[in-house]
Amino acid sequence: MQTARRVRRLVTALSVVVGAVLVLAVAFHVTLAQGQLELDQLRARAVEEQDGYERARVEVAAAAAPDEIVRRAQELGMIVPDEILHVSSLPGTTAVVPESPATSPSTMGSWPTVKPHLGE
Amino acid sequence: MLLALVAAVAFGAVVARLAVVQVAGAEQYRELGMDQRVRRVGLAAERGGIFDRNGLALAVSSPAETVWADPRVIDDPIGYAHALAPVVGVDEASLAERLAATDKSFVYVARQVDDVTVSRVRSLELPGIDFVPESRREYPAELLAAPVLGFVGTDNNGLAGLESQYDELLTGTPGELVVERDPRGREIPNGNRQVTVPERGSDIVLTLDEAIQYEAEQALVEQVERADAAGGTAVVLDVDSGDILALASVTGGSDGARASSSREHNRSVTDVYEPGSTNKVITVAGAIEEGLVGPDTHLSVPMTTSLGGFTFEDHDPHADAWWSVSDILRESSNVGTIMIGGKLGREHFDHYVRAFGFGSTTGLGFPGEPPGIILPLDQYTDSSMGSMPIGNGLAVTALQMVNVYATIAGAGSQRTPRLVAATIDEDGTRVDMPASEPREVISPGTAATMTTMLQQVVAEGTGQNAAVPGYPVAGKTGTARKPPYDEPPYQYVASFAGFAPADNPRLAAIVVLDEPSSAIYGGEVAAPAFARIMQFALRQERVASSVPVQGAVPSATTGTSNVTASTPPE
Repeated sequence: MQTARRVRRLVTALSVVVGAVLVLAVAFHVTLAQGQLELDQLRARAVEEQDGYERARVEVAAAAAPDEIVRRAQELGMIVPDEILHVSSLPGTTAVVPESPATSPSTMGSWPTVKPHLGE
Repeated sequence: MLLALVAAVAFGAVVARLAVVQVAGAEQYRELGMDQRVRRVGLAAERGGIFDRNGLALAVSSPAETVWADPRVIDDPIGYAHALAPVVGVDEASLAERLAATDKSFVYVARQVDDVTVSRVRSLELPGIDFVPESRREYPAELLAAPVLGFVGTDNNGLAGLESQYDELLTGTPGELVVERDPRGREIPNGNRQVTVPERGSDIVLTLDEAIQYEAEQALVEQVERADAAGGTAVVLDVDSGDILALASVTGGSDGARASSSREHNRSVTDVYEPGSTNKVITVAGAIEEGLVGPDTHLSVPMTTSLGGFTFEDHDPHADAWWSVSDILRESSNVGTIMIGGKLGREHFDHYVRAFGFGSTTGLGFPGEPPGIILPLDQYTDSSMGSMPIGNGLAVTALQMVNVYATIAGAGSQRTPRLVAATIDEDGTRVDMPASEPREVISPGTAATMTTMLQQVVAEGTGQNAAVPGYPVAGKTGTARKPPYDEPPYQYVASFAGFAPADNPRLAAIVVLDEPSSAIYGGEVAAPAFARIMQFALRQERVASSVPVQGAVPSATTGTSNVTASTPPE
């Protein structure tokens, strides 16, 4: 009788232990899966951010392209001057040096129009 | 008892079967299972970028997604194709055929699609349809230096230009993604997932300067339009290093001139032309180097001369003239140059044209670069020394010709032109490409003498339109009739090649216009574009003026700007 009781207690204890281990195992796997999910989400976000950076890089490069700058400048109302004048400090030089002959005719007369506050 | 026996036999059979499946056939069934679940997806490596010398992006890769399908899990390929084709923009019938190929586990639906398309495909929620990241090549500056950069194919492999020449460097090492997916194509959480990270390709830093390149293209577009030419090309070289700062190609036509596209020739490097009078510098330099003539050696130059049954004449009618070698070059006298060539002799002439780089490639390595067309010495005819010394009967590229002038500017030493300044690997380590060692072609004394004479060409001769205010310029005009030579209408190639500042040369440049119609002479149509490009490049390089300018230099009218002026805001 006593032996049978002992065996029953042992079996019950073992069953409880096995059950607890199984529950722990399940909990461990659930935690693992959740962690994996989070890791995957972080990886995906990192990839997204990197992609976003690369797209922005292309946008910046396109915005910095000469054609785009000219187009944008014209949208803002800027114009290409009829004559481009360069200032030279070389002794014996007239203060302004005109653009090369390939450009439009000299419009020195328009200087006061462009910079009236500087005078003639 | 019988029941127990039956149960025992049945149980034994189950155990035996389990043993067969899980022990004896374990490997086989495991592999079958893996084969069903495991997907291997190639991960393309990001292609390296191409930048100008200041780090401005000329060609970069941006992320894109490619839509793919696993036909093994698609039970309605026709329905799938009907839904997908209008979204991704592919032919429905061919898509249906691809989706029906159940012997394959991976087929492309559409390559490198944009984000909007990806969202629309995702919204269809079609099992078996998935995405893989790829990269798409972008050229942010659009047509700027397009023939130089070239282009890539769908698989991001270089097919032309620098994209092709440096394909191996730019292409990284692809990676691989191994994942387990369920029968519906969805990734199994906690399943086997292995990533072999792709290695990005190296970046290339060019010697091109984006601003000088743009100005060269704009000047050339305007001039090609103004001259109603078929096309044009311009090159700007740094004399000291051989760095190519601009390599412009322009296409003309009835729709107006435009910068050439990536599918058109990089004219400066791949197209040959008969140089005409720009070639006279080689004849004169050779004769001076050999001590046969000096800048003040005088010759009695008639209007015409005959050689090998052909008559050669000067362009401007004149009586017999007592001209110095300087005069002959300044006035671009064909007869005078032929006389100098006669003193030089065919052997020496052949030596000098080859020493200056004609007849072989420049060493740039650009795809499609030809060596040019130079007659072998043993094939010279009786008239060869009448045509070749004045730039006919041989064909060169614009790069070869500008390198001749860069040689004179560089005290007689020639460098191999350079287009790539450095590479930057995946880790960001920059490796500079060394400049080539200079190779003496003519002595510094001869080079200095040639420089003085070429300055006279610009100051007083046919190249006056190439003058740049504030800088002494040395150079030569060229006008060559294109074959066929016999009957009108004739077509011409007009050019100007030179360098500045002549007293301390920094930059050499050439402008070549193909088949100008409004005017044909290099001094009229090519020289003004040279002046504009050279002035901009000198300013960009912060080269100080060396010539005082007294008063305003009258500007020669060459036409109106092609930019529409708008009223500035009040």
